[in-house]
Amino acid sequence: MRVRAILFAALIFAAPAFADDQATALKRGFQLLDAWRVDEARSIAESLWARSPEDGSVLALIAEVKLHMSDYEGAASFYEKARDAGAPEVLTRNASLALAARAATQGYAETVTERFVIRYSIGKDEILVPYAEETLEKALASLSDLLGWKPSGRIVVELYPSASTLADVSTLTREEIKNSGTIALCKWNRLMVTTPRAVVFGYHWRDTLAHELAHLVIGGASKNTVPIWLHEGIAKFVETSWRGAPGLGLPIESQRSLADAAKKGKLIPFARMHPSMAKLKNQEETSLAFAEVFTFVEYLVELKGWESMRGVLAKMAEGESDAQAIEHVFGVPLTTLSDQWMASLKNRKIKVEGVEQGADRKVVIKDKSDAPDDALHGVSKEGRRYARAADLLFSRGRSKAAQVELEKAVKASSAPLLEAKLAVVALANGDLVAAERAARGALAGNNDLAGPHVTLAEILIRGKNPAAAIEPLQGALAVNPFDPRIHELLLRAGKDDPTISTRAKAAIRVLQAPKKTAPALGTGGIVIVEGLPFSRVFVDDVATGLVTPTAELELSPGKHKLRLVPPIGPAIERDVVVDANKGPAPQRLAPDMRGS
Amino acid sequence: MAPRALLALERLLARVRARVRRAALFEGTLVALTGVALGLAVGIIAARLRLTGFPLALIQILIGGSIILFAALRYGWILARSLRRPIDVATWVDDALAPGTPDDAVRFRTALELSRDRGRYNESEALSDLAAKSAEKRAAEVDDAELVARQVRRSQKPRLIAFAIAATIASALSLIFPGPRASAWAALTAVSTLDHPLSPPLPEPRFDDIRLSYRYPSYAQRAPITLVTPDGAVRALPGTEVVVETNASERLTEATLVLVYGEEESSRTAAEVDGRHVKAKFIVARAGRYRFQVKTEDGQMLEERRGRTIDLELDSPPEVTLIEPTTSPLEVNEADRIMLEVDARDDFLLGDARVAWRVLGTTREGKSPLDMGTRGERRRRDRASFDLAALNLRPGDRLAYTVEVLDNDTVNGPKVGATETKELRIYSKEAHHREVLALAEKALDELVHVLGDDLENAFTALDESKAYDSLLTRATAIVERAKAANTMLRDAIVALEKDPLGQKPIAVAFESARKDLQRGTRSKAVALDEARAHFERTQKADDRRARNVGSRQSEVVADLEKNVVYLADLLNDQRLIDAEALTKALRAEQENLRKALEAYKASPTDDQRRLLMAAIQDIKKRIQEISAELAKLRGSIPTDLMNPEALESGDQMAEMDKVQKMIEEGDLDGAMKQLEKMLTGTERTLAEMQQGRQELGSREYSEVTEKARQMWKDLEALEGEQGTLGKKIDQYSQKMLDRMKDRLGDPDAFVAKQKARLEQALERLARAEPALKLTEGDGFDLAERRVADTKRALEARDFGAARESAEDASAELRRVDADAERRADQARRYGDLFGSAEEVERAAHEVSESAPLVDQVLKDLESLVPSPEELMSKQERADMQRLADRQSVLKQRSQNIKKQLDELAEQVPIIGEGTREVLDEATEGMGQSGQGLGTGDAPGAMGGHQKAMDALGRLKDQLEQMSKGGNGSGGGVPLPFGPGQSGGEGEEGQDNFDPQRKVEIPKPEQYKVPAEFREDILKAAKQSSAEAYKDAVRRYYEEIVK
Repeated sequence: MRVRAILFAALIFAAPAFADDQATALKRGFQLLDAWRVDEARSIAESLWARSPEDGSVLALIAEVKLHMSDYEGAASFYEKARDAGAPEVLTRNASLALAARAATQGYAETVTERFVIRYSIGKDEILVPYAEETLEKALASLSDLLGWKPSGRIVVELYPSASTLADVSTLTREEIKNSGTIALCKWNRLMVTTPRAVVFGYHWRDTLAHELAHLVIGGASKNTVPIWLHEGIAKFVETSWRGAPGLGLPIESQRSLADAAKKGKLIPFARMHPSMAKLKNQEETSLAFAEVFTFVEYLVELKGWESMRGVLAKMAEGESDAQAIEHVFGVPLTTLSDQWMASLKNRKIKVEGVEQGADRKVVIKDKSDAPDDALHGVSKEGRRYARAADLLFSRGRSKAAQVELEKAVKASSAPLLEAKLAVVALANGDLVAAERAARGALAGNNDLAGPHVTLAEILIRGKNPAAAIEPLQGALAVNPFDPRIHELLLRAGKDDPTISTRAKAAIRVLQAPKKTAPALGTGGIVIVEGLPFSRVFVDDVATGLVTPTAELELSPGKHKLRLVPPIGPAIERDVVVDANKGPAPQRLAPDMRGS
Repeated sequence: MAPRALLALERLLARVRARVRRAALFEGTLVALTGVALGLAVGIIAARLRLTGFPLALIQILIGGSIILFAALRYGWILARSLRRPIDVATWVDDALAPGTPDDAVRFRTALELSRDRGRYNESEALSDLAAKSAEKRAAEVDDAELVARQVRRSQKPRLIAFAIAATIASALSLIFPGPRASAWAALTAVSTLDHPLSPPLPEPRFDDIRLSYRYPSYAQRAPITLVTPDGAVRALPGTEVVVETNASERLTEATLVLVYGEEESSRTAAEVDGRHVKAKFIVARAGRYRFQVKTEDGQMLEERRGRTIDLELDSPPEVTLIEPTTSPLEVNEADRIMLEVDARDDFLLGDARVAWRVLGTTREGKSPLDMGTRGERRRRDRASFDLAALNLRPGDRLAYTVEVLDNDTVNGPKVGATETKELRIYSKEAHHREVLALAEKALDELVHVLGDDLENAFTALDESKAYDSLLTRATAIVERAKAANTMLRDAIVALEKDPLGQKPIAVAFESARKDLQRGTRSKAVALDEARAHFERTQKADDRRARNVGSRQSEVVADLEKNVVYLADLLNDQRLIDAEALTKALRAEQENLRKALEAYKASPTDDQRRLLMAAIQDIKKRIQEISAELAKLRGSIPTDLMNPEALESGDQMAEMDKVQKMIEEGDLDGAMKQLEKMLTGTERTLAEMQQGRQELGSREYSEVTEKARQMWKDLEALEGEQGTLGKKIDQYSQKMLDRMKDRLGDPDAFVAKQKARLEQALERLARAEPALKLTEGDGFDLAERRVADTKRALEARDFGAARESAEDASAELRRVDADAERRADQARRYGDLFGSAEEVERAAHEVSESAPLVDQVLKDLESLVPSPEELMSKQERADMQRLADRQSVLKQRSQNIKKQLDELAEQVPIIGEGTREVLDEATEGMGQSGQGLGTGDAPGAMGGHQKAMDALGRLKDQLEQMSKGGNGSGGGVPLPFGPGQSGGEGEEGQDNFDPQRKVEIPKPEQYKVPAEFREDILKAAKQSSAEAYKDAVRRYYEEIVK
């Protein structure tokens, strides 16, 4: 991006057609996009377009802004127009990315909140939306406090149905995603997150949302000048701030592994973490790298508090390098700090309170998001055999015998998954003591399994303690909310809480609903919506995925309800009439959107 | 007042009625005869006038017939109806009496009416009684006979006259014209059997008896026959050639044979004439008559009127009975060959057999030839297969069939005999397969329940006797349940083995599980019996016995845990394969539709459109069927292998409707797009299914796959190296054979030489006998007998027996010799108490002289079977020792493979005890080979080698069979044994297993020395052997090579 901005600047200065101020604005617009300041770039694009709507470079800037607003159809269309209008190649090179993203996200639904636009594929992922909204709102509040910056416009969050979609819309390959276990990204002013459906047993998707949002805030605060190791360190450290305090995201086992690596001198240099943690060799390396940068940020924060961190970001936004900014704020060179941090690692006290006990579960990405999980993933051969015999017994109503088998399985191969199974079967047998023991055992071994959370919640509800069941159910939601039992139990446990009840009912409705497809808007009338620039367009409450000025949009002739959602502020609705096609020129809809 | 009875009147009326009826019958007959006479007279006149043809015949019939008809009607009416009621008879009597009746006389009719209606119309009853009284009085006075005769006479007279005239005319004409009379008479009496009833008849010729020669058609396979009959009636099969010969009463110049079939058809053929002899020939075609028309030497034409009958002999159709199958409807597969057993017989000979079939509810029908040996047989009971594959039957079709057997009638065409119609129901392979799977699933369920029972009732010694008793009872119940499960498994295995759509390993795995269960249950039952017996004796639990039961129970549980999981996986794998096959069928239907749509797009004619719409209807129906099947499967495929939504095909019908609508509206591009969408969806489903199988295989069995692959590789290498070693062993074996043959020399000379020695020994013993033989059966006697036995055995070429006898004889002689020496010494010392010392000494000497002779014979016999040291050089023995070392290494490798197999068997119960036993045999064979090589016994080593090779080969076959039989496109529960599997990764699914190939089971003797070796020895043995001793020699040499 930076390279492109320089090239572009050269081109601008070489172009006599532009007035100086316009050229400067254009340059500034691209620079702001590179600096993750999309709201500001959008304003520039808006004014430039008003003045020079046919100019290739302006069209390219608009295309780029649209890409950053997730209007892939519009971006592709404007890139094409820009090309036709003679925009330099370097300005339209993201066109292919826009096309790929358009294909990958076609027919997505959108939920607009005050600060976010959540886009998702129609179907089960709808149940993520209210929880995602809650997470994001909380995270934005805490992160802006911690890091000192907040985007002014709505942030686009896309939930992808599979990891391969993430590959389609990003520059990562499928293999890199699979090897590294990368399931989310923050780029082009949007959060790109894979649904927990696409990962075996799900993952901590809510923390991940917060993590990616942290990247966005860091990028915005620093004008995207922070190197990756620091980016990831800060993001990892603050990702838990939405649900309590920052610094809780490193499980005990991971802390132990880091200490071990530090003692053995096997730490990964920060330089190897560039350009992306996802490009590291394997998940073990990625995990270690995250632990390193996490503890480095922890070290910095412990040294001088969050003010220092905000200072570092501000200095970098002003143009200082990471080393300069850190030295500036901390008064010692980065290398010295790094040495001190490394030395501290050997004696670092393992943080226990509020932290998960087990190690980070290896992320196993499914080839297909709906592919069923292997309920005994990673369990030893012997344990597997007992557990599978138990399954056969349980499915034939022999739950007592199944419990005996599972007890043998747990004895033979101590694995959280087996304990989770044992908990379920013991619960079915009414053996609440054994069930609770097994469920807690499973969670002690691995906290990011939804199953034992759910079982524990059921045990608590049966034990007449429904209030206590909320917490494990939230734990399950945070990992894999697609198990209908979670929502059924939430209905029982949180019946006095209208928010919980409403969300649970909605989730059950979604899970029970037949497979849905994107609603059709009809054919026969081609329109371009122009009113209120850079607003998201909804027709008859259906998200078009477009942002004004839109690419050509086909609707059925007749009356429609048009809703435009600006980058910030409330939505505006108007009734419009679409005419049937009368020629090659599309109908332009530019209703007066002022003073709704 | 009571009515007055009319008894006299009623009696009168009854008598009158009877008389009048008789008179009417007579008169009617008279009229009819008049008609006959008139008809005859008209006929004679017509014949005389040579009037022929139908009109005249009609006149004749009309005249005679109408009169007869008139008589029948009129008098029939009188008889039946007119005098039925008394009142009618009374009227008739009143009329007959009327002319002479006084005016005041009461009419009988009136009296009857008054009596009948008395009181009915308020008439005077007194008047009625008076009338009755009067009528009664009058009736008594009437002479009914006279009255009837008087009345009838008036009527009969003219009829008698008419008859007389007619009869006179007819008689006169008959007398005057006898020929026409015959014609006319014939016309009346035999109108249906004459060609021209009213043509003037020729005089009839007279013939002797008729001689008929029959030559039957060839199909009848009857010899020609000749019969002489007075009436000349012919009775023959159609196609029979009949020669008619006879002699006329006059000499003839010509003759014609007239054949008449039915009313009009007739043919005339010239007959051969020789004086009075007439000979004619005709072929019997139909039933009819024949007669002759002849011309006498004096020119008179004569013709037979009626001729002689020709009757057809009946050729019945074959009688056919279907012996097998008896079941109807019989359920079969569409490509089955049904074995039909049929018993067929015919009065002549049978022709070919065939099956006539019809698919019920359709227009499909046909006849299929049966390869049954009926042709040319009079009776045949045979079996032949009815191949359904050629009939293109579909699952669910019902086929009515009957076996038809033709006869060999080549004249009128073969007649067909048929069995009763039976029905075949074409069993859908898929439906059958589903039933089999359900059966297997049920058996698996039961196994799981047995496991559940065992787990929930762990056996242990309990202090409390009641509780222990209860535990014993429950344990016994579990044993019984396990036995019942064993039976269920057996049924399932039989069904699985026959299931054409199933995978072979499933049946093998179920059988393996069944054996495990049976073994474990037996062992547990025995332990349980002991525990119970002890408890019943002592009313206490015995720790040791309870532990024993618990231990047996644990073994059963361990087996079941292993087996149920594996069997469940195999069934799941099978379900995924089934679902995949259904989805492929769905895809094929969609492809077909796309092609039809493309064809229509290329040429949008009405015909193409019709074809397309028909195709849509077909595919919709098929999709419906497939969707229903998929829906059933959806419930049985575990959700942890495949998302059940992937199997949802409910939208398919709706999508097809859309396609249909688009085509109807002419939106072909849209329809094509929709179809493409459907195909993509189907492909996705298919991919999911394949992924599900891959998931199952990789999740549960990747390690097994790797181990199995390695084991197969090792096994192949071992077999190769053992084969190489075998070639070397064979070379040594061959050398030994050659050398042994060299040593044997000429058997006859050998025997003669030994016999001479033995005879010499026997002579010496005979000389010693008087002094040394004390009693029958003593040592001397025994020695003598053994020497004689040796001689006999040699004579019989039983060298083995000879050697044994010689050994015994030698030992006995030594004892006798020692005894003789002792006795001689005693004699010398104590005098003649024990016989003459001299004699004894001489006898002892004879014995001592004979012993070396027997020893020599023994030595020669022993030299026939030389030790390896004698046959092989030192170097050769050293080489063989090296081979023995190599063999030892291979044996060790075989044992290692056994360990691998054991490990695999732990995870894959399909590898049962039997498989491992085969490997044990190989190891044992290698051991024998090594031992033989070590002792220089190359032929013995060769036997061991052969045994090892044979066992290795069988093991490979068994493993291959386990792994084959429907792994389809890979994934699933694999066992990568077999050719092409040892090459490492990426060689999946190359199924070149031939299910027809038989695994040859070797016979025990094949473990012995090689066949060629034995044959060579036996050949040598046969040389120069006297015929009588060949068997003995053979036995001996067989002994050598044992």
